[in-house]
Amino acid sequence: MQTATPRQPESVAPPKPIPLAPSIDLPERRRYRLKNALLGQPLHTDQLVHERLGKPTALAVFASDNLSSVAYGTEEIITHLVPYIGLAAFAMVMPITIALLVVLGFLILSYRQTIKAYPSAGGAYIVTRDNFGLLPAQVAGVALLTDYVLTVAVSVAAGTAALTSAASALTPYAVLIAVAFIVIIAFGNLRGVKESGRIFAVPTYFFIATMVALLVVGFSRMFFGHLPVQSIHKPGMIPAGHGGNGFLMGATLFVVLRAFASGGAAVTGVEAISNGVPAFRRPEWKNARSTLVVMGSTLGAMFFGLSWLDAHLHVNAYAKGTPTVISQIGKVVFGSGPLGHVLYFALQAGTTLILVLAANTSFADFPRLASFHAGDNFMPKQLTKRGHRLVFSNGILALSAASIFLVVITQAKVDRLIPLYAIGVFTSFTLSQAGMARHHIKEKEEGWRRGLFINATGAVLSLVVDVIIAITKFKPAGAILGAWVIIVLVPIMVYALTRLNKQYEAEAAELEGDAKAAAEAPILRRHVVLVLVDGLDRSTARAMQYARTLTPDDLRAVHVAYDADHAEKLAEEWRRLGLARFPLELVDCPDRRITRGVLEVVAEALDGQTEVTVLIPRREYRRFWHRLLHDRTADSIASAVSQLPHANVTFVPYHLGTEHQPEVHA
Amino acid sequence: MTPLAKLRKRREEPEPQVDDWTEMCRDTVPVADVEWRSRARVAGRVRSLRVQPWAGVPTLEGTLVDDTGGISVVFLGRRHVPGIRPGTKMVIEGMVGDHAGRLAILNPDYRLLAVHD
Repeated sequence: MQTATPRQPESVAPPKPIPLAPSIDLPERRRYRLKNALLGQPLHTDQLVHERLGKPTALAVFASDNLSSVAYGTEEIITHLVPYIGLAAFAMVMPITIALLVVLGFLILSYRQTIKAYPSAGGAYIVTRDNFGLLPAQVAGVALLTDYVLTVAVSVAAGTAALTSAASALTPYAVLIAVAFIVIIAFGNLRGVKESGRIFAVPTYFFIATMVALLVVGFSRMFFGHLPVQSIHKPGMIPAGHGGNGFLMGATLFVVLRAFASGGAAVTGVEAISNGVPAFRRPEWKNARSTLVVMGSTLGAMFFGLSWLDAHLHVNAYAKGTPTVISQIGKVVFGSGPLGHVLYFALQAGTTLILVLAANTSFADFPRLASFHAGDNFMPKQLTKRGHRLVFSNGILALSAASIFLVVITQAKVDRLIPLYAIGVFTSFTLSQAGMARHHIKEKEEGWRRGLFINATGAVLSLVVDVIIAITKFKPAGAILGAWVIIVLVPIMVYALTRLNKQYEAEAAELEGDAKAAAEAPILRRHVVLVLVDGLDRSTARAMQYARTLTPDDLRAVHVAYDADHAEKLAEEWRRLGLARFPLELVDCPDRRITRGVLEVVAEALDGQTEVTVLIPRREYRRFWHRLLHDRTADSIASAVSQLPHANVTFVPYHLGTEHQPEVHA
Repeated sequence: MTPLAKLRKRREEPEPQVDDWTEMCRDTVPVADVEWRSRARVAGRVRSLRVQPWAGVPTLEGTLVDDTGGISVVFLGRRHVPGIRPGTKMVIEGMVGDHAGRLAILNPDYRLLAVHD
């Protein structure tokens, strides 16, 4: 080798070896640069870390949805009692609250079982899928998904109400504020708000602290001082009915059950911890369990206390939903002194914050659940993709769109949303608890009888609550939206998802069938390349240049002669081309159907032994409206031609408006 | 002749093109009946035409089709035959040989149907 090379002049040194460039220098598109500016630099896949949370932080992260329910739980009970039984409502608040606390207690016991049995991910979807199969899991999942949407809508609406209670000037802009909250939360989640404790801990504990202050001050004044009983007939409040003499059993039972069903919203959010067990410090399931109990007790205590205060104070709800019951109680309890004012505004701030945070919980859970569905081929695959910042961006967008829609159509009114709420959660509670009961029967692990009893009771209780909700809130008087929306929507969605699943499965079966044999099939003998030509221009020249690198057995340009004079002109130009070296075929096309003409030429070239490649020069436009100036003939030709077996289409791009010089005479 | 009579006369005259074409098609055979290595006279429409650039061997090649099939028509030594364009109707006559594996008539006698614009 060395001897064969002619002697080099001394001055010419051989080129130094250079390392590869660290990255390929391609300009990024403007859209991507905008994305980077908005969302921050893309996160590396390795940065997908699972932060381990200590119990106090975990409580803050997972409890916001659950604890925030206190903000509207009591109010919902009152709203549904006062119009029918008047002052007697305040005697019924406590029994209903206690009944709900019993449900809460059983749910917590049940979920303690779930956490132990499914320490990796114990969402209703997984538990139901493992024990009952895919179809019931879809029901549980869809029910839960609709409820996540409602959680966002309800929490944001309630948070807005808390804000407008404190600052009544903002009341006309409630819808706008609610939508803005959703947009902000969605934006934060797209950027990837980590489930980082500090962000959550502050509002959650702040809320708990203000609630404790409210209850301590309230009860001390109640027992050792004087708390004035409020009038329930202030202007703007919901009108009080007359209970009449004693309880009219039938009608009143319905009223009470409906109040119970509405208050059921207060115990939602219990499932959050069981979804996030892996985020706890070791031993995960034990920490998760104790956190669950602490969360449940906190919720229970706050709910109980608030209802008691309300029962004593006779605070009625306003028809507009603002000022809220909790804000009125705060005003009465804290009084009108300067300290009282500070505490009152702290309470409102805490309530707003935790409600907005509760909406945020759904933004963590909805995309994850949707990705489970999609992973099992029951939802569009796009939902499994992690986006720019490692979050399920498409799920976040879907959730925001759905919840904004709900907030707008209900005008951000909590009491219009509540009838839709909770039914989904209790459906998924029922399914997952029944799943757990089945799990105990199958596994027969130590102490399974006790577990079976707990979960079976939990399932039955959830089912009862679910049925009560479905019946009493089916269509509230004077409202269009009610539980019926969910009852209709869930089966439709489940059906749609199973259709989607069939489609995915069929596609997969077709694509995977005999893939190995297909990969080893012999290639066809001939290759014909046809370059579609409309006129002799640069984009065509680029395609011709590319075509010649393919060195096929037969290479032709094809022009469909929809206009004889144009064809003649083109033929003349072609004849004068010196070195293009391949012929142009003019195809008669008396009916001007260019696509059909191309199809015929391609079909003629296909003989079972030939692969045909059709090269289509395509102009790429810099602005989308430039494209609107032209028709999409190239695309329709491509889709028609590629339907023929062994006919393949390649677009040869020509970028308009760039310094692009095709080497025609290479 | 009055204008009216002129008009009437023109009306009575048959469509010249169709008549010419029927006239031209006399004694032709359908493409499907053409036999290799025998003389044939066929009528049809030029479905496609190949244009060679200067650098190639001067050849004009086309496909003539009727309702029964198609046959290659090759004019050797020519790049361009005036009047032959895609869609042109013509009658050709010649010895049937082959070209690139297909039945073909090389350098046929041809008659074009005049196009009345």
